[in-house]
Amino acid sequence: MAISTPDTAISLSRKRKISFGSLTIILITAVLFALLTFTSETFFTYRNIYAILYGVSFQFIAIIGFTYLMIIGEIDLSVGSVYAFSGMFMGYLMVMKKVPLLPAMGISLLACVLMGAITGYLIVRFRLNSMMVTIATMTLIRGLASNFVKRMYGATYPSAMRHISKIEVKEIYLTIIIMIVLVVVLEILLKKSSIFKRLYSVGENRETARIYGIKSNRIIISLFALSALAAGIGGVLISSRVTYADTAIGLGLEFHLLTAAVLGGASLYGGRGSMLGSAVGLIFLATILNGMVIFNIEPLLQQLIVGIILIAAVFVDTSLNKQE
Amino acid sequence: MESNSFNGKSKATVAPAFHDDDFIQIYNIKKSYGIVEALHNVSFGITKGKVHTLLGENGAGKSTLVKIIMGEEEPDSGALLINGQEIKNYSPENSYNLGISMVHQELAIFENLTVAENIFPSRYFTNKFGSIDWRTLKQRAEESINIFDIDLEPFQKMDSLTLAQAQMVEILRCISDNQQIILLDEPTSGLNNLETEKLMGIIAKLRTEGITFIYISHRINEVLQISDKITILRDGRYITTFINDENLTEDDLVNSMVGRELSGSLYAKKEFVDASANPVLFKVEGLQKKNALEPVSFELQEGEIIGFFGLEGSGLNKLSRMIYGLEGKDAGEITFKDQKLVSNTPQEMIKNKILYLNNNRKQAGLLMNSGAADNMMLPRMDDLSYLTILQNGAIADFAEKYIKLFSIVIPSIFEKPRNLSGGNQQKLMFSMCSGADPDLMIVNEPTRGIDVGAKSEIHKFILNASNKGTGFLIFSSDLPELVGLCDRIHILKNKALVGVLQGDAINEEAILALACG
Repeated sequence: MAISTPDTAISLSRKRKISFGSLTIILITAVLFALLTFTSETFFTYRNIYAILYGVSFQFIAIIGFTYLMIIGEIDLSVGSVYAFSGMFMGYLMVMKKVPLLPAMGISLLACVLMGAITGYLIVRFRLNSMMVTIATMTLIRGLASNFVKRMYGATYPSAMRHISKIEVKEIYLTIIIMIVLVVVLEILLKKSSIFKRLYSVGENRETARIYGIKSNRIIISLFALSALAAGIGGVLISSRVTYADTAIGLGLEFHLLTAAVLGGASLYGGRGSMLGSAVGLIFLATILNGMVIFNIEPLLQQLIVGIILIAAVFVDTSLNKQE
Repeated sequence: MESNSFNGKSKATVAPAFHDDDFIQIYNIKKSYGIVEALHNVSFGITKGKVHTLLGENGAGKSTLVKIIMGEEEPDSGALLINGQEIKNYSPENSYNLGISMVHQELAIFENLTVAENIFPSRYFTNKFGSIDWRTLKQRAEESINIFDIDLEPFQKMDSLTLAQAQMVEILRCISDNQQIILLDEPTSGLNNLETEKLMGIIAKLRTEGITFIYISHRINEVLQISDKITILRDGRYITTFINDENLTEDDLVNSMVGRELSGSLYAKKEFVDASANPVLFKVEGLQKKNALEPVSFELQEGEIIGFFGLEGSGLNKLSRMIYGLEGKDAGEITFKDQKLVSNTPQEMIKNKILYLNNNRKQAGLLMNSGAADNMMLPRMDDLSYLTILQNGAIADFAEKYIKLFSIVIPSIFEKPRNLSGGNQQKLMFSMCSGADPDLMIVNEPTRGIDVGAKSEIHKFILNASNKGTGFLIFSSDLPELVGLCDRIHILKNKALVGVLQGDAINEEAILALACG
């Protein structure tokens, strides 16, 4: 009695299907670039593009940890507040306490890491919802930051601090170079390294990751600390650029980063996300805003359009998730 | 051999495909998904007031057929008649209005509401002020519950119920809404024997009241117990319909399902290995947790397969999770190869080459949306990377080796598990543990909800690996499976070990006597 085993004859493909995660946003951004180039003379000039990239380079630092957290299915809405806090705390130490540059920066960033780690610990230990916890820390840290604004009476930061964001290498701002290098390195690591591959597993199914020996709790706490550190570094740089403690720094940044990350292929449900995608998402948003300024669209309408983009991004994310 | 596979020895009675009084008539239904033909010219009828079972291996076309009957899918060609009326618009609403309901494998209940609200979800009884009339609701729910003599309170919260009770509530809901046909998809996969008996009783009772059941299950003895007629599907084709009389045997069903005679019975009993002289491989002493598990101690000698059995609520699942470190313990020592496991976490277990097969692949154990190869490398990512950089060539070779070893039917090593059949998902999950080269496997429900073909393959893997020296702890609610595989079986009741059977003393009756007794 012959037993048929048809399965062994089938050839096994080793090709990975191309995922369109970050490709989509790159294409959309390219189309937007082409559109603006054709319709406006001022858009595609070296100065304008350079200015866009310079602006994005600060936000990019902050979106690094944010993207990792989205990959593991968590969210950190306190990024904007930490972004504001770090620079103001550092400036406060330098202006009011006469602490030198590097120690002031160190203390400020350490404070950020600590706050991030505590947030992560609370979320892991008491199984809290990260969105709720970070809404709380967002308010709390914003309160701390405002306190520094009040105490500094609008004083300008010392020149050593103001200089950081202006460092150039071969006439290009260092922050832009750092951004480009980090995008390339982090994107490659995200795709190739076992450390980052684990993040996707944790994001897709935490219990599965646990069964196969991945320490999700440790990962969650570390990433919240990293997110706060990244937002802190971005914040130090933006404060250096703004030159004084401006209450508007980082306001709404969390939603801006969220929009960019989701545009770049990250998902609110976890398990997806790309560093390149997040960076291009930021560039896309910056370009839209830039275009609207060029065409004199009034600020209220600008907000409306950014809101619509977020809804569209979430819609795409949700329908992708439903397919799965 | 192709279309009809029973041999001369069988005395089974074959029913005609149609009767005059069929409530559902299926004519030449075809359905393809891309190039895959899920149903090929399927025709047969389902008579009113009968329990009609659909039997077939995974991928035979049962689910597609059910989806068409439920109005979730539209056939490419052919006709479906319900109560003599041809279906023109396929929609779930339409099927529901014609009196067809389904009790899903993953139950569709409202966990935060009460039993009564779940029995009558769409029909709140309102008083003259338009607010909910809780008294009538309670009364009606009580009447409903009393039909079946089950232990439920109308205002009990759903999340306090066992799976079996929740399932009964779903059946009550179908009846309360006057549904004529109830589809049961693997209803007993999460139930223990007592609960299964109770469900069988309820089905038998409702059948006498004219309710028609379409029953889907892989458990053949249960199918033989409850069905009036059994239709076999294979590779999307209608094979035959048996009348379930005393002549019909398990072999008839299995043979026509697989289209060949299985070599030996599915549950051939393993040859008993007396390992008492062998060194101890794995030892658990005084493992306990307040309100969850009384102190448990046992030993596994090299070359042994040890089974664990318990009814729902016995703490069986908890024990397996505590051993592997997925759940915390109050006290207890675990020794592996004469070394104490200190932290008792999954990380430590994997480092010691102890792996865990989860009992519910849909919940955890697989990354459903990541490629098969990405899944397979999970437990051994460190071996497959160099300075944390994953070695794609090595991973592909590794995945290919295990896909072939477990004859997983899959087009690409990066295919997502969610696109695979249940049997192939289970084999993939098994291969993940196997690929980590385990010295001990803690296996929780190794063959839940999969077809007989895949089941017998997995049993073979277990026996082969055992011969090569892998230790096994098997936790299962499938009694024949345990009896067939294990050298020794520990029985749990009320969160405590109550007995152990070994070698020839192992049989289903003895196990059940201890588990219920």
